[in-house]
Amino acid sequence: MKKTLSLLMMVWFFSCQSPEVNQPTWINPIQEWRESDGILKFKVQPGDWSVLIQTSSQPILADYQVEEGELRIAYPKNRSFVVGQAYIVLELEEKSFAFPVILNPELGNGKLEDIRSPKTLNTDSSLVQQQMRYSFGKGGNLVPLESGELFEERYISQSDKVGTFAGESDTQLSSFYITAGTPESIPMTIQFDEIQNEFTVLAGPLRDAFQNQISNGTLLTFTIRNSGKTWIIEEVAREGFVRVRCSAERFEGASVHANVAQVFSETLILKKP
Amino acid sequence: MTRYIFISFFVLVGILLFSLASLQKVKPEPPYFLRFDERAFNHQTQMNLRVESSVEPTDDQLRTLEKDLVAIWAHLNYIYESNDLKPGKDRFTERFYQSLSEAYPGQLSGAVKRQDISHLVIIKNWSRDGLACQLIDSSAVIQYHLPSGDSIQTQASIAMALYFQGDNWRLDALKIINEKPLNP
Repeated sequence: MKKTLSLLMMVWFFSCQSPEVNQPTWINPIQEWRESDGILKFKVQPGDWSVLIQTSSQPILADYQVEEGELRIAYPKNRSFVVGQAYIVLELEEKSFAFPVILNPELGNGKLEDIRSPKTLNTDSSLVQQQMRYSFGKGGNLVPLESGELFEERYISQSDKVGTFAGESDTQLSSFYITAGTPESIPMTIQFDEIQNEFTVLAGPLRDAFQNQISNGTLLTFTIRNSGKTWIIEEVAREGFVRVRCSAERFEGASVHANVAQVFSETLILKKP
Repeated sequence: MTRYIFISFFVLVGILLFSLASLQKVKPEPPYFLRFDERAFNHQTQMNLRVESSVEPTDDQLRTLEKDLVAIWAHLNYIYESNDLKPGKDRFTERFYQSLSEAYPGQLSGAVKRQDISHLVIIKNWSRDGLACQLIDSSAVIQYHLPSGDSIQTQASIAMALYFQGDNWRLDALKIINEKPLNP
């Protein structure tokens, strides 16, 4: 019994001892691996080898085959990764060998990124906008722009026309907006409706300093004063106009003016024609 | 004797079932603001920043950028050797993450380890809203630990484009320029 046990122990001990793995030899060593260079060949001892390519961003699996003591690795042409220093890692029975190689595939033009800051310009303030450009290539690589630079920065004077504009690239980040500022003046007229017996105070057309119609929803404040009492009515602009109706019974003879922030209209008197 | 063998068999099966059940416990991911980035916290590197942009960031913004750059490197290095993408997902923009996860084979253990020793970062452009910046790490020193036990130090210029999204800076694209062995 004791003899069998020691025999078993011996077998177990030797089965755990793996034979020494020899360092593979690189048959066609190169510094930079291009697609045109084809496959990389290594002279290896027979075994169940596994191959990784550690690129600058992440390890990727390689296409390889072992035939008659030669390990052949195909160029990873359909894979995207950050270009630069890479390592070919050959592994057999937990023993690894690394061979440095530079991977520098063609990246093409990349996708232009066009960042605008600020994204919303207002004609009330400066119309100068900062633009930053770079190109996002395959695998998260920065690709030089047409000028050869990696990054470009410019300051652009935008026009005074309001609207939503697309930048040079079609990404969401590149679109920008120009909005109308405060109205330059508030022209006001009063109409009297005899059937309804009410006044309509009409303010508009409201345009900013560059003749853009002011934004819908701009708040206009009407102040109506009548025999010592003051009414404040707020109304929003729609298509550049604001209307307020006041009954003639109550407001005949009242004075009315309107304002948006610091811009005031003239004061008119509500009276029947 | 046979009885004990039977009992021990059932005990073993019991332990196996129990361990399987405890393995399947779902660990809910904590919300973004409660997550602690251990890798970024433990990452050691030397980061020097210099501003050359037309719009200058404030000191606070610079501190945030420095902290996030360290975190980005911590995760880049971790992904470099493990291909484990998820812990660093908040450190990259969506499209960079997408290019990392394209044809994703799962975690792979790379035998070469990478370590970033020092950085000299020049901020080239800084957006007026403080949400985008482009920089060049003009002399990044990187060390590779090879499975043979050797290590190789290299120096490179690394251009990076970053976005401030969510709560931190994220890497959008990078280019490693002219990586050369550094002779001490």
